[in-house]
Amino acid sequence: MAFLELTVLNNEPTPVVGIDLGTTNSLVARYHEGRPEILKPPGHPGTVPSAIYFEEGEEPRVGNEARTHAIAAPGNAIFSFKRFMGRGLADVAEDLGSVPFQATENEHGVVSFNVHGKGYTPQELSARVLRQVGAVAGEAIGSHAPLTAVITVPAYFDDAQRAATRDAARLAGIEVARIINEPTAASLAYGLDQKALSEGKEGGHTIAVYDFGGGTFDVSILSIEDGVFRVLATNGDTHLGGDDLDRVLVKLAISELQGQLDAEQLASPTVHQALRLAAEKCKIELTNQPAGELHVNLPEHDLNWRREVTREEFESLSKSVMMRTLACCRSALADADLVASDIHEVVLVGGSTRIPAVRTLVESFFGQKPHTELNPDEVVALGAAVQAHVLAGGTRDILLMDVTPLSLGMETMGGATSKVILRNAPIPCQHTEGFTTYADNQSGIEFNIVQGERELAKDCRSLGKFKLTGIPPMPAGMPKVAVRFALDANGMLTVTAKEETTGNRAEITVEPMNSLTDEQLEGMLMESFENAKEDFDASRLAGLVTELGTMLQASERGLKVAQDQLDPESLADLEEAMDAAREAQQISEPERVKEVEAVRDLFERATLPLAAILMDSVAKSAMSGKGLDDF
Amino acid sequence: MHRTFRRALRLRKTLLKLQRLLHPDFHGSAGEAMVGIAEHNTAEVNAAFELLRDAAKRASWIVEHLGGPSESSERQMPQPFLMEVMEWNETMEELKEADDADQTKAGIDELKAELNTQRAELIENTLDNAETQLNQVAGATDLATIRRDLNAVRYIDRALSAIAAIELNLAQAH
Repeated sequence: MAFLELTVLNNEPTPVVGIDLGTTNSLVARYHEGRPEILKPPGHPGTVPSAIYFEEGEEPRVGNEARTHAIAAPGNAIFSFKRFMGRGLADVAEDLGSVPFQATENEHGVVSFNVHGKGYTPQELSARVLRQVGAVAGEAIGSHAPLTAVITVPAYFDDAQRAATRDAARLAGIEVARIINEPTAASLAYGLDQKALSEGKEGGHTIAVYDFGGGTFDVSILSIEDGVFRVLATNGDTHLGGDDLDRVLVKLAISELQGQLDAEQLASPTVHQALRLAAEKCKIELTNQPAGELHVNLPEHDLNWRREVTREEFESLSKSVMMRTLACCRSALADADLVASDIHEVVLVGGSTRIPAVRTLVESFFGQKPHTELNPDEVVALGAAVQAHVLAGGTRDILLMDVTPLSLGMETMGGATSKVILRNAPIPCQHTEGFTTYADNQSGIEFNIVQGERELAKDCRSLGKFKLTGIPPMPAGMPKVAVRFALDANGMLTVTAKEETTGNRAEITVEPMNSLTDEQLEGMLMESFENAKEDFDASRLAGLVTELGTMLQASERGLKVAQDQLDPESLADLEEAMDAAREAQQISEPERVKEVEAVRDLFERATLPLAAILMDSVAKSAMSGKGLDDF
Repeated sequence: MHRTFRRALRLRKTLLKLQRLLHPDFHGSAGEAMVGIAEHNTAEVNAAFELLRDAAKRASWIVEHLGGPSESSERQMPQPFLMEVMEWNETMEELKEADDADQTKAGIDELKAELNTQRAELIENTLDNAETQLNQVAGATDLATIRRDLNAVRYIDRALSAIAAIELNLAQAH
């Protein structure tokens, strides 16, 4: 197996694709012949429903098959698990009430669904969907190489939710090139940079992306200038979507069925599931025609109920849900320091934007017709494919600069939050904050990292708590503890703490809460391989060998340019590490994977001085001849 | 005003040009070490941009850079300014209570205009003072005074965002 993978890897460039891992459906796209396209194998719609069906004693079924089975046996199918990603049980009580399946929490605070006596985390379920998506992509491209992908998440996803998405991809054997925000991706799909260019707007072209999906709502305000897509502000609600519109109709049905079904019957999972499906069907009918029908047929309760719903009635019932999306739009505009009339273009994303009332609302709010040329279900995957193309080195014409949706900070004495990075700060970004002790000879400080806008830490989301220990005895206020927050281009946080007075560089990295630990991930990964350990190691080895190849190429290229600027010691270290890497490339025994890993780690450290020189020269050329007065 | 706009435009163009060269997106194939450095550099440029485009942040940076008092060690505001603060607070409370939407809207617009004018004057003055300090000109305004003026700017900013919240509420209620 290892042998086969190596041959494939050496002959074929890894395809880089864009994946929209949605609440209801998932899709994959790639950039091909100058434009992004959805990958559809012959006779396949390309869409993979994000649902899994479990039959006792059989392999779980994923996607379309799961959806078909789910209708017959609602309790055995799990769907909408995106809502549970990176969440603890306490966060999702309300969501659990609206789905016909049960959940518990594992010891690390990760939600776990129980089916036939076995627990599945949302990460594992998403991984199964991603694996299916990968298979669809492979079939369409005609390649079996492991995938590298840009994966999208709602802009309003917090750190734990992003980490869960990345872990799901890892479990599916997909290398994550980048996590990007769904509305930002959508803006790339429309090629609006070309339009901005042709209209020659010197001050930038401003766009609003209104993304109303199945379970979440996001709005992002962007400026496109010189080919750079710069997000100015983003806002949203991770609990506002088309599902809420279904619920409006479910409520209507429940209120009118009072006389025909008793309270217990109305609360049962089967009745609830039937009402939900009827509501969804009626909502879709209402999108295409002036009236729809709520039809609930439950022979076991002696019920065959029909009720006509007109567009006017539906619109007045769902008014408050729709107004909530505008509240987000107003906040985003305020944060971007703009008003609705400053927006040059509006882009619609997500299935719920098909609803005529939603379109009218958006049009009147922004005072212009929104873009609807692309399929709102496909636009996110298409945009992700554009970003994948950029990251694969395909073009330098487009650059995406995103922001962090939520403020990051720490709990202070008395339970308040002290914000370290403010919401809508451009990413990547970093910030170091100084702390000290408040009692004499205090040997440790506890930190609680929080994300959110509220004043009190308990009202924000705690990302993790950690304790810096081993501070030597000193009077209060003497020790200097530096806590560094770094947000990477994925919008994911790393926090490190350091005590600086003593040179005792106790450094600590925070493990996020409600996340899988590295050990748990590894365990799950092993489970997914048939011959557990050996196959797992073989696939890891294959990955490492490819990585060594890329690193060797990069170093050879770099040395050509900058060899003479490198000090002799670093040069010798690097050459030695490169020789070791070339040797390690020949290793094919899975049991030697640790050895190869050590070579890779050493190589990575040895490339640092060269990398620093190369990046320095880039920065210098950019800044050449510029002084402060030039601004 | 025109000069400020041109300066902002030039600053933004420089940001975009720098990020086009430094951003990790364009260094993905050059190994993890390069990506790490690119990420660090990009973050620095982002921070510098935020500092340069915001006059208040810039002045605050200068005060701290020259060893002046920080936000947390000097919390006072200039005496005459405090009188105005009291007046504004009163107006704001009235606006929160008011039930006539049109009247509230007019009151908000008036207060906003006043605050914005004050802010513009204050910040221009303060940044000038800070830059004079930076150039070590004799007789420059002392750093503690600059800090107090900056505190006044921060008060206005908080007041403006409180007004924005009232406006948002008004719009949502509609």
